[in-house]
Amino acid sequence: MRQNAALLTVVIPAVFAAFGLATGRISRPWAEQSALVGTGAALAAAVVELLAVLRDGPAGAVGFLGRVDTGAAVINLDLRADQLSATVGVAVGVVALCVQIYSTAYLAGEGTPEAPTRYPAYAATVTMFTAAMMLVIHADDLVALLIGWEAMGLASYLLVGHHSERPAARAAAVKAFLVTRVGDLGVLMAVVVLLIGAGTTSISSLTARAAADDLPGTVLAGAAVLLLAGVAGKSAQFPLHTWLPDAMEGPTPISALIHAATMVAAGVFLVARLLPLYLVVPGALGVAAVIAAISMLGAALAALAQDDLKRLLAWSTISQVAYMLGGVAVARDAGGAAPGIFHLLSHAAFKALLFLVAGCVIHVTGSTMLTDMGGLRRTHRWLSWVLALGLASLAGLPPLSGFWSKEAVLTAADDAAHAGAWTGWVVLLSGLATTLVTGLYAGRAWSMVALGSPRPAQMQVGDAVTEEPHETPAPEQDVHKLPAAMTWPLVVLAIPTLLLGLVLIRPSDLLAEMHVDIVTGVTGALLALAGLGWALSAPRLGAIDISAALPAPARVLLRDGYRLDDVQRALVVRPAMAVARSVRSGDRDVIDAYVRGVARASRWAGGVARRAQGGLATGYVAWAVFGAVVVGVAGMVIT
Amino acid sequence: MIHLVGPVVLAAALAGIGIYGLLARRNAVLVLIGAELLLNAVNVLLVTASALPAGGLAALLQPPTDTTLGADPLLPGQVMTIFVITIAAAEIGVALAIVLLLFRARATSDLTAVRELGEASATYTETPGAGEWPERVTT
Repeated sequence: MRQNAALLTVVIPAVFAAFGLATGRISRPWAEQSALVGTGAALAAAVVELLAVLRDGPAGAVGFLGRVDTGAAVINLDLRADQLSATVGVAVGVVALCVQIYSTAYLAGEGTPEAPTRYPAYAATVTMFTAAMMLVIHADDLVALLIGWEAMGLASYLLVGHHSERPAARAAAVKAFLVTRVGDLGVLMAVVVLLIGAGTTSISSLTARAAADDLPGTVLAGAAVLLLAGVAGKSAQFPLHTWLPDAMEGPTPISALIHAATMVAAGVFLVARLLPLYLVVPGALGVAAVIAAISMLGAALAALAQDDLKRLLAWSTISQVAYMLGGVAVARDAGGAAPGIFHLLSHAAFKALLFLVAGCVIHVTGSTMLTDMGGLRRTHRWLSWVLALGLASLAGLPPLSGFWSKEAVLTAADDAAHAGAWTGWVVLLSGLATTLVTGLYAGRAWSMVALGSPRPAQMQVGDAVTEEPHETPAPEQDVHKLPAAMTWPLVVLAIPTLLLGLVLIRPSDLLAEMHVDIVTGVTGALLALAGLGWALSAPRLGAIDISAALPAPARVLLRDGYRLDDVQRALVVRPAMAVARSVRSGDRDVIDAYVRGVARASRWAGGVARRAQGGLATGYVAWAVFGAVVVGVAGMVIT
Repeated sequence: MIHLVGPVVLAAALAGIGIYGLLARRNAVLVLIGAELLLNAVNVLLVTASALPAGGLAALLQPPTDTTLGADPLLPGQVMTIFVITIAAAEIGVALAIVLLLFRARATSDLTAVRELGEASATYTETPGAGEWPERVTT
């Protein structure tokens, strides 16, 4: 039961992705149905798995791709079913299904020749993305995990660059691919280190041996730090976070998928999965805590200055994923990953909700720029309340899910700090400061989108820089009407956003070790309220945009993400390009020079030999006589 | 037994005249005659050499020590001469046929006048037979 369900969560979406891709060209309904059925069945399998696991306990060693005998070690490409994989699997399934339903309306029609929707390829890739994430969370072997990990990299590349007609989308896709690939190299090397040092890559045996202190310390330390590079890449943590804001070039539902369920959650999930390894290597957890603290506050401040709704949400994702990583980094025993995982779940709900709402807002206003929005409260009251719900959960207002999970992380950090761990202090202080800033930027987003007056000029898009040219509504179309397929997913996602905190009443074993301290909770809630109130009072004080209070240079610096892109360009891109140029010139001017030299020499030799062929028979005879004389003389000299 | 100098000098003279004919004459028939002289110089040398005792020239200068080493009963020098004469007959037949055809086609047997096959020649063409050729002499 558990085994089969775990297997099906991976196999069903993979099969339907292939089926949708193969049949999508024939008819669009087939593509739609295979996408919906594929993700829906994956969700159903995950739910069944969760129920079975809650009843029967975890199951390991589910045969999946068989065993690989490499000679040095035997790699069992198996899956496992436990509460961690089942719970995250349900979250992934819910978000993926919502995204698929939403996308049927978001990418309606065939688009224009300049911006085709290419729905079948899109839907199949989303399903494949889901399958890859399911493989990552169910894998019981680091090699199997790596397969899903890389498949996610491919899917994110394809989807971020889905509108490949636009140079910005292509550049963002390449950037996402290359930056995450830097981290993926860390995972690959960690696998190699573990194979050589520990002789196995099986997660269950690694964690068991690490808990029994049966592994060499240097191997563990090396593997843990190398894996952190992969975590930073996939989860978009400092310093490998630069791809995430640019990935907003992808269609908005893709942002919801990447940010909420599939891509960025994978990094935190990996740390949580391998937590017994990390507990043996406190230094690696310290590095994780510092990375989390930097990403948390830095990304929140950057989000404050964004003037693009989607980029604001992207920076907030970096900040929220840092909360999860911080929550895992302050863990002190094997159950310590609970706050981070809980925040992962609640973040999956509210961030998917926020991105899908953002897609609706963009659909309505035809622009992604915050300055083009406003007055949503008057034109779309219902939508503005859903947006408020998501933003309040993001900011951590009680009693929404974001509040409980964030306070659980902060409580865990507080406990760790009072137990004497410096990582606890780092995460706690950074987390509290971030709570204030999160309230500020969430309030700013709502005040700029929902308050104020609508800007009817924005209804006629066309010359404005639109995010999705194909969805530009025709003038006669009623732009205020949202299709049902775009509103129902919002309702579905609003439920866990509102109510996920109820899990705390009777937590499962996975989340059992988590609690919310009253003092921390009240402090966090007050800070979030202060930030929200500060930002929301701005319109009444005359300034619609709270970030206008920042000095202009600081604002530009924050908006550009601390110019880390420039640093990256100077440190990595330019040297890499220089190396590429020198390699090219080495190939062209050195290696090819030999080849061309051979050609030139034979041409020259041919020209010389051609002279001898004068056409005069006597001349040829002369050569023959000359040769005979040479042979004769040589014969006489040698004997 | 005559002295060895006579036939050797004759062979050298024939070879020299033959090479001169090969290299200096322009008429194809005379070039052929030069070749024949060269071949016959070789024939003279072969016959002469076959007359030497076993051991060759070195055996002439010192008294025979090993009397069991008799002359080769197969007379290889003379047999080789027969071969050369036979091949020369075949060769001259083919060569004269070529010269005859050349004369029929070009109305000349002057070798310096037929240089079209040489790439460096002034009249070289990638497509021989297309123009440039003199009118075929019909017989």
